[in-house]
Amino acid sequence: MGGHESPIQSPFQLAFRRLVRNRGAVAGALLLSLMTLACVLLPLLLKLDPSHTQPVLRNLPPSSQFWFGTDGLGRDLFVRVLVGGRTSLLVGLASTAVSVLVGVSYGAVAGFYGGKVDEAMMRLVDFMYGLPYMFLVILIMLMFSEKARGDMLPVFLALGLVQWLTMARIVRGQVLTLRRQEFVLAAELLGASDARILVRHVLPNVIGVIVVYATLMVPSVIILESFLSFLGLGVALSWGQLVSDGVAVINPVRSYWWLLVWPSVFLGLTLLSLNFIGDGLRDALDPKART
Amino acid sequence: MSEPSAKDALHVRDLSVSFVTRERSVRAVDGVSFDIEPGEVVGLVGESGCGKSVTSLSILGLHEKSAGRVTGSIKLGEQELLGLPHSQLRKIRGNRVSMIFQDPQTSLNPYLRVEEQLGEVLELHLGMQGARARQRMLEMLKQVGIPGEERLRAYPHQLSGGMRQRVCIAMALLCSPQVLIADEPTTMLDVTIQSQILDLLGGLRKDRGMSILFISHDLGVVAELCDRVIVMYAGRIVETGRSAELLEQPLHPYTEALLKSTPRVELKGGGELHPIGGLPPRLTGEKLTECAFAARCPRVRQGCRDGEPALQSAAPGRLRRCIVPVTDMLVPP
Repeated sequence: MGGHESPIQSPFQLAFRRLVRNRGAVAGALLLSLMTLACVLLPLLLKLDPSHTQPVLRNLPPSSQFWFGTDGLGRDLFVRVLVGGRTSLLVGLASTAVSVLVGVSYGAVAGFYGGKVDEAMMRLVDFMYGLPYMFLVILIMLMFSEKARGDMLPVFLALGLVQWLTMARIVRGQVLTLRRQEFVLAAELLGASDARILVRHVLPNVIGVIVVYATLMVPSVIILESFLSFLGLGVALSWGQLVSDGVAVINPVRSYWWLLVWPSVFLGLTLLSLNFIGDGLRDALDPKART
Repeated sequence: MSEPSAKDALHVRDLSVSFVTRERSVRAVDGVSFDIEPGEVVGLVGESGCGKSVTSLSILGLHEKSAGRVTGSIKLGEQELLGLPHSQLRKIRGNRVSMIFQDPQTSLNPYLRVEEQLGEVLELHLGMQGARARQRMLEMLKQVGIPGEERLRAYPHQLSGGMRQRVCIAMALLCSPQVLIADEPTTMLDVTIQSQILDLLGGLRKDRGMSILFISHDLGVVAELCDRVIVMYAGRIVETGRSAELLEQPLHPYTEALLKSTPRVELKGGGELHPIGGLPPRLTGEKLTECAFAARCPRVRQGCRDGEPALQSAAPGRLRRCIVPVTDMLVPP
């Protein structure tokens, strides 16, 4: 340890220091922020329209005018990849947020009260695990999409509601062990209420695990959404949809390779950086790591 | 303070705790009775699993979480603590009865600063916040031997084991409890820190007239701090008495054996240690049909297996659960 740091450091500050030292995680974070900024800001600032068609300029390969080429309707692929990224990233974040919210509260309550409450709650999770999740997602999407076509909320809900199961299990296990820790017992003996113990003493000690798992959940949600789009169940322009379109025009006579490659590269890079970040976070928040 | 300043004694009467699982039930504590007067330090000793901790936890109503069944009576002054609703019990915990634990590594929340941990107690019980609370925390920390404001901002991992235990003690004492339960508070500390903590507890007892229930399996520590000692074996009390007398001349073979197995500086008789052979009885069945210690007792004789002896007066201020004549106990087995 160097001599110039402030004398008081919270466990989170220490974890952050370890994270910053991890090159893979830092590179991943940089790449991801760059990509996010580009996807969010560029279309807004340059007033780019992903559905602007120019029938004369159909299926052009990448050039200095159209960096990523154009598609079968003469739309600029670069713009479409950026706007699609906005959807994919938003879906990833929002669905993860839904599943974290549901999973953490569910798992925390089950683990904290234990016994029969835990038993009943976790059996429900087991049951839902048993259901084919893709089937569930499709069901939820169909249920909602009757009323709200083109709305992204059903996607968040559908993906969030199938992803929370693992989160609930993880949090429940953690809370179960923390429950027996002496500082939780001590808080109880000092007269703290259940809610207070849970929020103030138990959950902060689980945050590390939650953060790591949530980071790793974002890419899997993005993939799920891409898969849905690929199946034609997507609701908006996203990377998954672009890949799907790209695959559709691959044929032995003429290959419009750029239509498949660009969205795939962006999707892949995003997933890669998220995994790097998650990995770095896992190392940094490992309670046994002490530097 | 809102609570009455008159010191109350703690009366435990016929306390039994059993844990019932699907397959069997275990009587961890069986008919335990004792009193702790204001300002008195009572040691509770016995080997692991003899019911020391279960006894102390049930005083604070913590057994409820582990499917324990508790009968008997636990009174603080005039107030019955057993069967008190959760909300009432919360007002007593940390306020009139406090507890410190064995392992200072795990008894502080790693994510809270010292001031946050201490402040929680003040806020919960006295509604005290801000500068006044801060002032009080500083005083309390000074009393337990941690001077300096910067320690308030420290996280547990920045404190040594001894300091953490002091913080735990400070936390337990913030509301000036009448009774402090100390569950092996020095077991995990090294010897120099151990004696500091013992001095601290002894001093607090003197200054505040606080009663302490001191749980330990270390007879040396008990001799140093406690006025009276209660020896437990297999969930029951086997001997009680003033600590100096009891440790000088045990009147129950179990206490005797326990003493012989404890290393001491002034050990007589060649300095050999004698472990107690065998294991304590399983407490799963019904009432015992013989003395619980009979199977391991070096003084076992006729009559020991005919039924469990009652806890009877053996000398002034001494109770024991044994049929061996007192005069026989004075000579080695």
